[in-house]
Amino acid sequence: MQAIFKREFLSYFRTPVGYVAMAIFTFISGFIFYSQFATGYVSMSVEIIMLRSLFIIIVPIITMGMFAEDRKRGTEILYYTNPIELFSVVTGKFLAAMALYLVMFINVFIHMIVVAACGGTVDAGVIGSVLVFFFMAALFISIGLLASVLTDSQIISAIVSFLFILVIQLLTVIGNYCGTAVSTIMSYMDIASDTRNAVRNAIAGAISWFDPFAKTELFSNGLFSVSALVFCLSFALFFLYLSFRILEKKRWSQK
Amino acid sequence: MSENVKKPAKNVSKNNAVNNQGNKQHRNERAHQLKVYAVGSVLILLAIILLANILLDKLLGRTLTFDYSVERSNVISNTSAQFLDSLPDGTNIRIVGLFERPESFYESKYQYIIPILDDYVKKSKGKVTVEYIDMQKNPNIIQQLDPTGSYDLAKLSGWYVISYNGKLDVIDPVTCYTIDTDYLDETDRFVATGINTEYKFTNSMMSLVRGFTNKAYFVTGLKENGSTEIKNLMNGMGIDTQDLDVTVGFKIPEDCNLLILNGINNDITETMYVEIKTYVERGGKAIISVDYSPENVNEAYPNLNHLLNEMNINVEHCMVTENDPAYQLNSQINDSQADIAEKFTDFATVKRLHITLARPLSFTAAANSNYTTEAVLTSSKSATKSVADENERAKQISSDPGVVNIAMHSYHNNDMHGEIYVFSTVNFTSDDYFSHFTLNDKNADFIKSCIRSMLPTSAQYNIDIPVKRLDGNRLSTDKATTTVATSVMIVFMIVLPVVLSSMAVIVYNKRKNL
Repeated sequence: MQAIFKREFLSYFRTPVGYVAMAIFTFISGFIFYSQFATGYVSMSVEIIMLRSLFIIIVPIITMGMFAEDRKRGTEILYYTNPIELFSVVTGKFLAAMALYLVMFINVFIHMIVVAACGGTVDAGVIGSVLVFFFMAALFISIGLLASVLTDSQIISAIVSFLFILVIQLLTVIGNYCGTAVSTIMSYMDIASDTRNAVRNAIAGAISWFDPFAKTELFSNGLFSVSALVFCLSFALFFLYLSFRILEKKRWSQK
Repeated sequence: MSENVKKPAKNVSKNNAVNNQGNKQHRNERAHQLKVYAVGSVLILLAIILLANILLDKLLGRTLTFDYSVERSNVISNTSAQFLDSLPDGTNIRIVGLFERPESFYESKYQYIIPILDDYVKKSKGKVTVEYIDMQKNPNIIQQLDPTGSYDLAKLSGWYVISYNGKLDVIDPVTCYTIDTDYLDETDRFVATGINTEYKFTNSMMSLVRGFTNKAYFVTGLKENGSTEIKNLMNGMGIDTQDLDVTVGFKIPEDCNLLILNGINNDITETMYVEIKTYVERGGKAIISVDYSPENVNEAYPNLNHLLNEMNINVEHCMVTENDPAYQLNSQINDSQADIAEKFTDFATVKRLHITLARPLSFTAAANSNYTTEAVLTSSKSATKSVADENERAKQISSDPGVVNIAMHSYHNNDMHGEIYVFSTVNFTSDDYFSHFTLNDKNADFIKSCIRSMLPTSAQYNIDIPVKRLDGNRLSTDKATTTVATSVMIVFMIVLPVVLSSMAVIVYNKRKNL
């Protein structure tokens, strides 16, 4: 796993991918930081929470080539023919992407130092936001990794992970729409309004329960919820396992 | 012979075919087993994760949520918890949010309200319930909460209603925050400096359960200062508050226990002079605050002085200039500290209080023996007086250095005990001041003591719920200068992204031919 991690992490800096992702992240985080700084009020929690919406751009960029690139070069066969655990391969690549995120995040740490030097606050809310940022990064990277395993094309992989993350970002809205749609259909069936409302709320609640953004938004207030972190981590683990299973299937179905 | 040779070969190939078929079948079976195992293990893992998350969220979600914020902004304080404990079993305080509980309320006005209300429910042992009901979808809730229609709840969508034994109180979520009014004036942006949520809700519950003991009227229509914060403070003391608009005629209601003129920028009318004079003579209590700010530098307050002269107080038409550096704040002559007069030292835990843009108050030359008048706050011995010139700069007027009164107290010597506090700065009453320093400030403690001295309130109201400060995000103006902001923009938005993009181009060019 160590060898995979090292190779994969360094590959980000042997290709333009790592630099492009870092340039985008640096510019946008810098823009958010400056927008606040110019007003004399800086909330690092707000900056970090806003940066979560960048997952939709950054994650597809850094994960699209994880397995698709190996397949293109023909080096994928090495994973199946060498006596290595495929889960180590998946984990190594996942940790490499997380490490790249950490490198990108140095930028935000510098912002924190600037804020502290200018008399601002870096409190528990900020630490909570950082924690959530990385737990959510883990979740989304595992999704991007799965997209990369599913397809041979980097472009398709990027589009799949982009769509997946987009849907997750909109889960609360989708939940409300679905609830309203079902409620409207029920109204044509002359179902009592109390029942309709209950069903609408249940559907909206059930769908939005999966929204990691809503679950973790209060971390920036300094409110730490263990269940939200467990949610992110457990689903990241699930997607990693799913990726591993798909690779394993390819190994035993080789003809 | 050839037939003999051929026969075994035929058998071998037949055997191979059978073996191949067997191997293929074996492989298929193995593949099927692996597929079942793979799909099964994924489904089982998914089921375990879902179940574990649902159980964790529903059963332990709230227990495993910890407030690590510096001010513990998301939970109620021990003071509120003790108040809830003091309520008898069976008490049912119903809090209804007149909107649907949003799934996501970060960066909304409910950000520091919903978690705190959840904590009330958690710590009240069933005495407090919180519901969120959208009036559009359940219009019956209006009739249910307010059968008499006295609160016009239909117009209060998005507000909270607190109901106890048929008594109601309503809270606008916006009032749960202290807003930096200076910053709002400069930039038209809202920045919250403090959270009043717990202050508002606990005091509201207390008022409903125990009832208001007094009523204060705030005079409006004289271009006065905002009074939201001082009203919050009074509500917390069990004093009901209401506005008294002078533009529609001025008559002090019978139930007025305290009359407040908060930072008036226009003079009072003749009618008001007569009304207030009579009111105080009959035992009424009043607090009057004025200052010397750009809004009123041309106002000499002749009618107000006419009234106050009856009580041996005169408001001068100039500004206190504090020349003693030990009293000055930020080296400002008009932003300083004032000494608390000896008789009033029990009113605060400090010896000096913060004053800004104060007018000098003096004793009138001919004293009215019906009133006893005393100084409450005084400047240093080095204070002088100045007026603003046409460029709004302080211009010293001929005055010898000496002690200047900033606040005075006067009471009628008859049996009715009418009394009045006059502050020549609005730092004890205005939203401008408390929006910066919140109700945790020492000036708030002092004005509370003044009010308590006039309206003895029951001990049951003597609980102090601190306002939770939120202005830690403000940068130091000395350090976060425009030059630093420009440097931040250049480094983080131009230099670093350009360097990284250049690196990407270099790496791409080096590797494109590999």
